[in-house]
Amino acid sequence: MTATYDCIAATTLGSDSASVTFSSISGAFTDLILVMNILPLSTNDNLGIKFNSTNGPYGLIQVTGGGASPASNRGSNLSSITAGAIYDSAVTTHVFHIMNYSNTTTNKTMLYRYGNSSYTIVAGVIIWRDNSAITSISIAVNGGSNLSANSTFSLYGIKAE
Amino acid sequence: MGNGSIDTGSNYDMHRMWGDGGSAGTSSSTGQTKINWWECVPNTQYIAANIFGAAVIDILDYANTNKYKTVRGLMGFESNTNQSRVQFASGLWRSTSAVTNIKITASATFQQYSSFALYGIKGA
Repeated sequence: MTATYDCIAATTLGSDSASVTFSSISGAFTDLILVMNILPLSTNDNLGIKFNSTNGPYGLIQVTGGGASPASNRGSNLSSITAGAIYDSAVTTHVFHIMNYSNTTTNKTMLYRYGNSSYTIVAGVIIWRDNSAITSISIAVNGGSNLSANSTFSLYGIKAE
Repeated sequence: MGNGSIDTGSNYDMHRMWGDGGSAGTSSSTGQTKINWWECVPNTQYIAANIFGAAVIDILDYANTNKYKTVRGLMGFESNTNQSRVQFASGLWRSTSAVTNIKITASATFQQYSSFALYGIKGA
């Protein structure tokens, strides 16, 4: 029986780093799952994620809850996926589910959710308006700050049999 | 859902939190003949045909015969227009039968290249 999640790569930052890149991603799976546990930064910001080092166009829509009424926002024609707030005082946990990532027939759609105990929970949808197979994923801080040491990044593949 | 066949009785309930990029809200429906998860399939009347919806649905403890079946879903689509949608939802099938059948429908035909995958996960 195939394992549910097959770990493709995982890394823990040994020091503050500008980015993390998963490259040469095999097309052997059906979906990808990206799990990130990001330690506080020196400032509040968003992640900036790119596929195949391209500047989009990406779009996202999300719904957020912060202890009061829910809210929603969206962005289109983005040059990176600016989903995933990261904070100066709380660890955030992010899970991205990237659907059918290796097909070359459709734009790529993914679902994500993230949150922390101090600020908010968020669930959303992302589109990369490109039919290319995803072979690399780069993760950075949108504003250019470094990702904090000891943050963890894991990429899993799941396969329909 | 069903056991041996699809249960079409009024035995399904749903709660959701949704967003459209500007507004957000919550709603529920009870006593339904299926779990009606709105907003997760784009309507080509408004959305380009190459925009696909995405959904991940977890059916918890599906084979248990002592309790009703709880379902959790995250779904939506981003269309580069203000017709985009996202929702986080829960569902309930008020039956203690094990789930052996799952039927997925939409109000219209699913498009070519739509894909569906069912995975099992197992506690050690």
